[in-house]
Amino acid sequence: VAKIRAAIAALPAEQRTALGLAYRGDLTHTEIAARLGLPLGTVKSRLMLAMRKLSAAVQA
Amino acid sequence: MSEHVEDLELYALGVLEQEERVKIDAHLASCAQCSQRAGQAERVVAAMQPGMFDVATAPAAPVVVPLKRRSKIGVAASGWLAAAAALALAVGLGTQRAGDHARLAAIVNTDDVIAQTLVHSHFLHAAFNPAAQSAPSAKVIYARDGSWLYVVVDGARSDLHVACSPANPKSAAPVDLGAPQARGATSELFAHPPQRPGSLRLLGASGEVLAYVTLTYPAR
Repeated sequence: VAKIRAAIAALPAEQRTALGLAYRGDLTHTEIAARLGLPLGTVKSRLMLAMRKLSAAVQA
Repeated sequence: MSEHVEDLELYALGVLEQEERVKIDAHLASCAQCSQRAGQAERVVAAMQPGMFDVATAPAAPVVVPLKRRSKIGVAASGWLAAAAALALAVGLGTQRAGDHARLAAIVNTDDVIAQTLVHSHFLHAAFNPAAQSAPSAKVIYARDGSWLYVVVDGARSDLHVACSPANPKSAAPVDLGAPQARGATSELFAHPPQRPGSLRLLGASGEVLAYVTLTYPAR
């Protein structure tokens, strides 16, 4: 949990924002994109990048 | 085997559209490699907690599992895996408050079947309705696709059975899913029903109906 906390804090703000919205659990990626006013592809790549960094941090 | 899927991180976060999720569900059922990757991503999600994001979002109450008693049982809302385990714990509240974290960890760590299922499936939950005065408090956590269910009954009981009627009553007769096994302050049954379950009945020692619940499958 401490590793996750630190890894989330280390994310670029735009990835952390997207991840925070995703974590709420009630939005689809399309809805997150609409909320942030961004293309879907941008939101997906931010979420994927953020998750891969967190995954790497947990395994490290 | 179909090609490996790319969006497992998004799947784990639960942000995919339903049709995308269904496709990945189908792929994971037949691909150990992707299942392992999805499990890793879902462990990351399960470790997250609402306070970790300094973005202004509403309280991160999982919509699928509104856990009204969360504050009482003192389990942080660390994603839906924890919520599921906490839901299982909530039934046994009367007798156990301290040690919830340890018990949650025990559920996740010691019972691979249940842990894997919780980790790999999106789920729903419902409370049993009492049908008799002696009905124990009971809940069920179940897969959106009806492939598995997990019944938790308050108290260490060895005299109960769970019967299941399929969602489409024309397709099969009710089946006995077995007896919940005592696990500390609760009795628990994990089962893969032969058909998508439409309703469950909790039966007493002589087959009398103690409680019942209708399982619904709302579209996301």
